[in-house]
Order: sequence, then C-alpha cells, then structure tokens
Amino acid sequence: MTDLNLATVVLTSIILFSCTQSPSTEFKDSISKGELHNKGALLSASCSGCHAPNSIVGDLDNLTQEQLRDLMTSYKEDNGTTVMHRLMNGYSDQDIFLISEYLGKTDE
Amino acid sequence: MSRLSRRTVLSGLGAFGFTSKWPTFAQSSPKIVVVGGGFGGSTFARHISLLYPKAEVTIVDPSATYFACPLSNLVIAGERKLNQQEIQRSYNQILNLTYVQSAAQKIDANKKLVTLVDQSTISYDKLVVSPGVDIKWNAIEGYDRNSSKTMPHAWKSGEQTQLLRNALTEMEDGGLIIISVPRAPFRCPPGPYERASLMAYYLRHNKPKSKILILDANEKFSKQPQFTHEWKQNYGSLIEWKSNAHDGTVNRIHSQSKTVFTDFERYKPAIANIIPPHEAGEIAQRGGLTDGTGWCPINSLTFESKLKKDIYVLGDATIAAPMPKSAFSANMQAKICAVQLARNLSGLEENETVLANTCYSFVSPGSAISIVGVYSNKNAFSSIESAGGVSPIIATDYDRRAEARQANSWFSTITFDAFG
Repeated sequence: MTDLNLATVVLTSIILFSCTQSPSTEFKDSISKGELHNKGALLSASCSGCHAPNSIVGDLDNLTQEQLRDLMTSYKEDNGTTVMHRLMNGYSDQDIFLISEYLGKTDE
Repeated sequence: MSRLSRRTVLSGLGAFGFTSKWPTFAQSSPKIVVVGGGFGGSTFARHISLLYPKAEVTIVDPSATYFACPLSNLVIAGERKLNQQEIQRSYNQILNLTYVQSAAQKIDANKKLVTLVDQSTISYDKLVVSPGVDIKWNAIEGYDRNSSKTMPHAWKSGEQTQLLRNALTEMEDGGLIIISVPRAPFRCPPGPYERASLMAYYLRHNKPKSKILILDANEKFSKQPQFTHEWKQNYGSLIEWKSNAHDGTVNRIHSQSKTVFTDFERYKPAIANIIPPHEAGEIAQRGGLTDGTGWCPINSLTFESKLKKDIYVLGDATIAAPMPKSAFSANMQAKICAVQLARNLSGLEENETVLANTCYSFVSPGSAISIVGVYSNKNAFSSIESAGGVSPIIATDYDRRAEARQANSWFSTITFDAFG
C-alpha cells in the first residue's frame, strides 16, 4: 500500500470530519460532536465501498457538506431507478444530514 | 487532501479522528485478533487499526494470495483473466497491524486463545472471525473433494474457477451444461444466474448448439424477472431453469460416470457445475460459533456472537438475513463492527444505524443489472421496505452498460477499501 492509498482509506472512511463551519441546526445542537460523527461514520460505512477517489461513480472527496446533502436529497425525492435512487429511499433527512456532515468537505 | 503523506495522515487522525474524541483511547492497548483475511476480515483489520491506533491488531490467514469471487464468472466466460482476481495480502504499511500467515485451528473462548496449526497460540481481548464458507461435502451424495475436480463448484475463486473455465473451452459444441443451485441461504444469491448468463454468452458465440440447464433447489431466485427477460432477449432457449417443484433439486452425483441425479431424472452432462450446500467456515464451527443451521448467530448492533462473549463474526458466515452473503455486505459490516468495537473499548454504547448492500450481476460481458437493499439493525436485521429493489426489467442498453461500468468500478474500490 502506498502513502497515497493509506491516505485514501483514511480519508474515505475515517477522518473526513473536523471542526465544521456549516450552519448549525436544532438537531446538530442537540447531540455532541462525538455522537454526530459516530453516527455519521456508521452510516457512511455503506458509501466508501463504491465512492473512493478516482472512482467513476463519483469521488466524494471534493464535495462540500451542502453539495452532498443536496445530491442525496435529490436522489431521494426523484423517482429514478438508479442504484443511488433505490438506496436513498431508505434514508431519513436526518441520516442524510449525518452522512453529509461526516463525509463533506469543510472550509478548513 | 489525497496527496497527504502518511505521517500527515496519521497525525491528522490523532488531531481530528475518533481518537481525539474518546479519552480512554490513550489508556488501553487491547489485543485484537482477526481470523480470516477476506473482504470481511481484511476490511475490519485495516479499519480498526486506524480507528484505534493503540490496539495491537493481528490478522491470521493461511494464504498470502487471495482470489476474489466478485467478477469471477467473467473469468469462466473468458472475459477476464484469473490473475485479475488475485490480490496479495500485505498489511505491513499499517504500524499496529501484524499479518500471521497461518491457519487458526482452535478457539478457546474461556482462556481467550487462538491456536494455530503449528500449535502456537495467540491471546486476545477481542476476537473477530470472518471465515467465509466451507463446502458441505457429501451433502449431495457422492460430491466430495475428489469429485469437485471433475465436477467443479467454482464457488470459491482460484483453481476451481480455472477448472470450470477449462471445461468450457474443452467442451464440444452441442454439449449439455448443468449448473446445480443449493437451497438458500448460500453465498452470492444472484451468482448462479449471472454464471448461466455469461456461459450462455460464450456458448452463443462459440458453441451455439450447446445448452445450459439450471437445476435449482429453490422455487425462485434473485433478480428473477430481470434475468429471465435478458435470457430470452439475448440467448433464446439456450438456458433452461427447473425449480425444486419441477424436479430441480440435485441429490446425488456419480463422478466416474459424470452423472447427476434428481428425484426422478438422471443426466449425463458434458459439464456438471455442482454448487453444493455450504455453511460457515470450519473454524467458526470448531469455535462453537455456529448454531443448528451451520451459520453464526450474531448481535445485529455489534456483530458479537450470540454464543461466545468477546468474539465477533462478519460476512458470509453470519446469520444476517435479509442482508445477503456478499462481498459488499462483508465489507460494510466490517467497517460498522470496527466503529462499534472502538466505541465499546472506550466504554461507550453502540448506536443503531442504517446499512446497505448493492450487488451487480452481468447478463453479458458489457451489460449488468443490480439489486439494492437497505436495512435497519435495530433489535435484529430488517429491510427498510421503502427502499431497495432491482434494476428495471425493461431497460435501455445505455442503462445496462452503465451498471456494468459501475460493477467494474465497484470491484476496484471495494478491493482497495478491503485490501489496500
């Protein structure tokens, strides 16, 4: 495994969170940062099997939290039949929020 | 950020990762042993090592080379080389992860010891077992290790895959191929039907007078309407399927005369691809982790065995229905288990979550369909009914080709996520 590979593993699955500048919500304020990230990490375990850097199905590395939230929400609300449409129907708005907080890029 | 050096990443982990959130991390150095280095075990070992840098993690697997099952049906059809399935296990870039090239022979859950085949022992605080499946020899009367050489199952990737590939290339045009499917649950539920599709593709182009007969011990199968539609469209009557109710269950074989028996029929095919019943890998049975079904009952939140404390089971060996026995499931379960175990070791309670699975199947080399499932792990595993499903029965070539590209991409990313 190269340094680059290791970085990718860590990035896609583990450390894509830090101090976030995104607008806080009622939900976000109601739980600790550790819990927020933990729940986001658990939910994101289903993402990193496909969405690694350079993957043709979409590298999530450069998407902001807001972009991720919008993308996932549009899959959920749209009546399409792709894999992502069929997946997102199973996730609540809160789940989508947690995933985007965890995987999305921050301004740092 | 993908250009960060390893040092920066690791220090970044300390600064921002789970490690900084949970103060107990710095205080204990638990010994975590992982038995089995497939999609489940390898993913788990790599992720727990990074999530919990203080842990001393050891992964045990007898073979430094791993042959991945996903996409191996393309090898049988001659559309991929076997060496594209080959992965070298190497964990030495992760500081707190040690690879022991050996096989586990015994688990003592009371003394918390794993005994290896050379009789050396490894002690553990937490043990993760991800043994995959083992064939139940003679569950189909007469089907043993020897007969698997002339009637290959090809349900474990590697030599068996090549045997079936060779049989297909050597067969004369006009031959009958039997694929026998065991009663569910079995590894890779859509796998036998993907195999039939790809073999049919090969036959149509190379040996068009030949025929495939699927003898199935079940009444229905994964992605059935989609497969049936594609078979009719692409292969006409080349593939025939017989369910259990139509005398589809194979209960005996005779390897010398290459005969396959059901209740009422006997067949003498040119190729018999016998996919036999299987069960949790042998070490799970020896360790007392299996119940009467031959599979391992687990806690849906933590993946801890319901039968032995401080032992966790991942992947194909588990009872995790409605989640299928797939590489996707094993990889995802392993990451969730790693996060939950890191919490457990830090004295925190495990959280419920939502889990997903996606399985692609090729209906011809450039064309694929998919099935998606989304699951809750609250109390037990259950499907979230509002989600999931299969690709449309009628779809454009463009959509089928897109799913084939996704399948190939998935193979690269999942093997990278699991093995580096």
